[in-house]
Amino acid sequence: MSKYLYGIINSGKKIDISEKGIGGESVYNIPYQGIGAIVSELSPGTDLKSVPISKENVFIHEGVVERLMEDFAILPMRFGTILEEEKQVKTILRKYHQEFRANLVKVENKVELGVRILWDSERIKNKIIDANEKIKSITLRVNKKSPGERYLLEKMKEEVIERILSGRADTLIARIHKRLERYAYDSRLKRLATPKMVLSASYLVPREKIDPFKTEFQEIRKKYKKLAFLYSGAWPPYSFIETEIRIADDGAYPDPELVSGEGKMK
Amino acid sequence: MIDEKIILDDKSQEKFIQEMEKIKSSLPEKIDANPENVEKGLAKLVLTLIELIRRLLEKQAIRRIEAGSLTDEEIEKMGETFMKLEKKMGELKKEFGLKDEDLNLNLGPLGDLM
Repeated sequence: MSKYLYGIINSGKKIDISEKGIGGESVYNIPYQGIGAIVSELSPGTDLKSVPISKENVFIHEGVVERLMEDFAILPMRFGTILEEEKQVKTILRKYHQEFRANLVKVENKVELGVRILWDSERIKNKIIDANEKIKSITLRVNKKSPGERYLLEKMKEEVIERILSGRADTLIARIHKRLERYAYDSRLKRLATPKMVLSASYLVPREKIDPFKTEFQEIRKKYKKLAFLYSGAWPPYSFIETEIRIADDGAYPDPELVSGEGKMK
Repeated sequence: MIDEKIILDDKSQEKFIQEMEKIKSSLPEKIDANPENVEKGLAKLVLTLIELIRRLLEKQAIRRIEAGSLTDEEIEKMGETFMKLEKKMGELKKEFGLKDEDLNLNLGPLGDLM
């Protein structure tokens, strides 16, 4: 029977949760030396295509992970991680035992909080164009030139603007991050994921620091009135696990030559 | 389950949705190779590399203009070349039904190529 894998927990004991898994199946633990794989059954031959990424399924996956998070440290698997049989699950638990243990220790009693910030990049850009002397002088040059020169000077102008904008983003991110990282054990920052999304950050925060973190977030939000803020969480620590698991063909001892599938925890 | 996990101004909601959609559309897709799209896939890869080189050269030219090491005549000549190259790229993209955002490679932990 194929298994749908939700995550790895720091317990080899039997678990008993009321949450139903994908397809309404019961969720249970496959233990191995102090850790366990949380799975539910899938009918034989089920591949990723038969577990569609629907809102319902994603919520089931997330619901199971969050329910377990209440009692255990959990390494959440990416949605749609499917193994052919129990033997494969055990192989993975054995092969990655040390890495799983290390990651579980890292995320124990911690949650992921997300912070995303938008700025009005167009307005800021226009302000830079109005105020910057270097850009003004390029603009003057552009107007007098022949087509080829004009083309390159326009590009140069864009680049100078981008450089200034990028510097401003760095300053802003540094200021905000400095205030939030005090409450966090670890963080992942992404600057300018889109021109408007100046910061997209994930913080790994100990449970007892969630409230102070949230308060700090609210303070920052009050201070920067022109920015738009989004706070989300608590989530399972999806962004802080970097083990890549490889699933071998025969379900026995995985050999890079035999790799047929790949599950990445994210 | 979701609502209680979010802090967000009502007026910002629409803006965030828009930006998230943009990020979603730039996520790497699985390569779905089949006889019908193999040509497009190859064109995409080749054009991505050409676009990368074109941009690098353009940036280098800009640096040299900034440093003042080019004469007006040289700038004009280069500018015209880059202009034609960009136009040609635009035609090729159109030919293969590719958009600007298609010409990018996700390099995993290194981020995007462009």
